[in-house]
Amino acid sequence: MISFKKVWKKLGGETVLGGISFSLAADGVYCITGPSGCGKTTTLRILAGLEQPDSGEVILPQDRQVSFSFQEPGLLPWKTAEENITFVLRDLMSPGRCLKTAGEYLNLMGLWKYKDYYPAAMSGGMRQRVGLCRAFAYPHRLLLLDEPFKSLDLPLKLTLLKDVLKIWSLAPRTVVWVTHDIAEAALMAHRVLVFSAKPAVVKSQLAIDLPPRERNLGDSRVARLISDILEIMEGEAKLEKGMGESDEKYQRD
Amino acid sequence: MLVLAWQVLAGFYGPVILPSPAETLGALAGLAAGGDLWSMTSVTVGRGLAGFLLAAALGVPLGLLLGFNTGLEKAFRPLLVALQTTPLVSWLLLAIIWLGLNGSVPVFIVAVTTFPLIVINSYHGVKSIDPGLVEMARVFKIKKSRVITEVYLPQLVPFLLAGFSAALGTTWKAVAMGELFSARSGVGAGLSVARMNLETAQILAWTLVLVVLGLFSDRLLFYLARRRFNFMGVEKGRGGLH
Repeated sequence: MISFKKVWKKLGGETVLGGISFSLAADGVYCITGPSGCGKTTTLRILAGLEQPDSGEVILPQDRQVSFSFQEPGLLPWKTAEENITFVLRDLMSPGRCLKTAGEYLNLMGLWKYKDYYPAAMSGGMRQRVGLCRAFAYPHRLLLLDEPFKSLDLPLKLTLLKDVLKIWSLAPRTVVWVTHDIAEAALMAHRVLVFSAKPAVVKSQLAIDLPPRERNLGDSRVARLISDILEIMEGEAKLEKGMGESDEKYQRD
Repeated sequence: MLVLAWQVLAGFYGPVILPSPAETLGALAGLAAGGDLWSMTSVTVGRGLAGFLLAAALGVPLGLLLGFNTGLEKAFRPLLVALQTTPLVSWLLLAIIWLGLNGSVPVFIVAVTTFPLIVINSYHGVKSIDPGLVEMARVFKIKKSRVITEVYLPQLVPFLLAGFSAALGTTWKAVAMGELFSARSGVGAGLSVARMNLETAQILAWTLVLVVLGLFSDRLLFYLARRRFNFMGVEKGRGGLH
């Protein structure tokens, strides 16, 4: 069980989180979406223990086995794809097991061919996938994904979504997934949390009963989910735009 | 081309002002035959390396410390600038007063001139460390020793090498300067003797020795670095070495 109670966080003089509250049950997939720069990444960083909230209460599970797929994938440039994955495993298992585990996940993500590539020789999307691979391979109870499919094209994204679902159903864990892509959220999440613009609060939460396995983009129920999330976000966008216009007028005067 | 221009100019000015390349090589051969070339050069190399190693042993830790500690960096920066701008001649005179006329003066001169170069490059190495990678290592709870060898060091090495390379370039100039007035042996002393006897060809011959030392030590540094750090894949990943 994870919970945020009225969490506030200031970064560089600006209030990013303005009293965020939510709670997440174990082994669910939770998508966080909302306008750009609204503190989604900051929320993940607090969950990872990389930031401390200024005020409010954060409850995290005792055995903090956290894995993270970063938006900038954070690969070591002097290590190959395979070495980048074994790098995080080496303290936990024998060299043989490291290679075996890394190989399994590289295979699952269709990266086996590229295991000896250095990050400099990979495309942005490939680097992102290696980062994702590393996050899955690292033993965890809580998986944090920060826009894991940001630089991927749609067909590849849909394939990978299926793979992620497959990996998750083999060993269910709590997943907190930050994304801009509403379709991604509608396909994967057990619950979608929509954040407001800065300073962020949780504007709305949509629980989705339909098992992710039975969802696909053509399904009318998924289409309705997408339009529901969109409606909430558009309301938010209108609000923001209205504020922007008034700012402009103010400046013109 | 350069040698040709040298030859033409030498013909114009005569051997006291500018000896020809052949006369310079002749002087070099003369020094080699007399045994001076090897004995003087080896003394100079020993002093140069001693000063360089002293500067590296003190400068690298200090540079790293300053990089990781912004407060200390502010306190030390004026001192570093002062060290760098103090004229070599002042150091030389002070060293002679402090240490006397002996072989430790050139060692001191080399150490004091290369030390700021090594500190500053080590400092910039720390500043160039990618905080995203350090954070990544923190999230995955990588052991401290492995974070140092596999995350920090590969990022630092190109900067440390740049510092060593700059320091070695200065080393041979500084050691000769140090020896010129203070020592009875070494290339600098050889220069001093040649000057007194107006043996311009010998001055050029000793200068040639110093230049060759510079070229050789630079290549040696990169050769050793390549062998030592290849396993980290520094070259492949970053192109930091060349």
